Amino acid sequence: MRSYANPADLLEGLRQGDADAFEALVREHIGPLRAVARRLLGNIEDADDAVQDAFVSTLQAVRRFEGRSQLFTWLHRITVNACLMKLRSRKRSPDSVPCRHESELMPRFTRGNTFLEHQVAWTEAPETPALRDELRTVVRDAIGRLPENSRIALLLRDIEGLSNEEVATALGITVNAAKIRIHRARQALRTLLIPWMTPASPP
Amino acid sequence: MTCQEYLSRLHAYFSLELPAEPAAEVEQHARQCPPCGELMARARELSCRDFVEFLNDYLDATLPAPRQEVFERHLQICSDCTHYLDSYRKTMRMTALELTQGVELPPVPEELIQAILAARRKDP
Repeated sequence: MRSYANPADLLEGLRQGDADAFEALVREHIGPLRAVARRLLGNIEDADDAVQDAFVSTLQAVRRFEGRSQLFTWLHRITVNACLMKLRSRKRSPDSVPCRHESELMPRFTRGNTFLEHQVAWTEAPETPALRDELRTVVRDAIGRLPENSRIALLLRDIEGLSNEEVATALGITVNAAKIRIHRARQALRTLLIPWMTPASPP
Repeated sequence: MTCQEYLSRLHAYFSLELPAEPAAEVEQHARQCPPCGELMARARELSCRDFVEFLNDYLDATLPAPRQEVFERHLQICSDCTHYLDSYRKTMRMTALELTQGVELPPVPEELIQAILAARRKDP
């Protein structure tokens, strides 16, 4: 197999339909893209399907790729889109049913629009490896408990680094709707983390 | 009413929890004492509910500049919103950190790579 140290050569090879170029692209980028797909889809089987769809999509899309963004950024976006297609096509899995309604996780206010519950300072994230592992499980579990719409919007914005506008385009909703969805998801997640982050109320 | 009494009642005043008479005393004190009056004027600029509702815009710095300043002034006088903002930021930071670090992905199976390469060959 030819090696493609220069991204421009790789791109040219892809445009020519060169099998070696495609294999080089797959081998170099599949690891991180699979991680993206697994975060969005939750299981490795669906993630592998989406990654396969994504790479196959690049064969057509490379003709339209103008090389203005980084190659990986472009692949990342194609993978995100493949995951969203997958999410639309699959049935809601039973474990994605949230245990509490999202609206119950929003902060509550008095009639005068002050906070109903007094807000307290959060502790810093723990430093020790054992506590960090525990927190990691807690955060992932909490994210898993968000309603799917919210969870995906949150992941796209805060993990995959899309802008509000890009999230809106990816989800086919208005920018304002995307912003509200992201904001509500962060707020719900924040509420789920309170027991671990406030000294007054140990879990 | 002393300034200390005024401060201790201000939150209840803004929460609409004070009966008419103590509420009127709070207002009277605010009219008579310039620093306390200034504090009340600031507190009237923005409610905690509105602070939270537009918090993401504030963090994205997409509010008009005068509005952005109103948010900053609110933070100077409101510990609830200060703590809420801090916890919201920590939530965002932890989300990013816990989902991207320390994630051990199994090595990519060669079968998956071969399946993708085979799919290309089928694709005209």
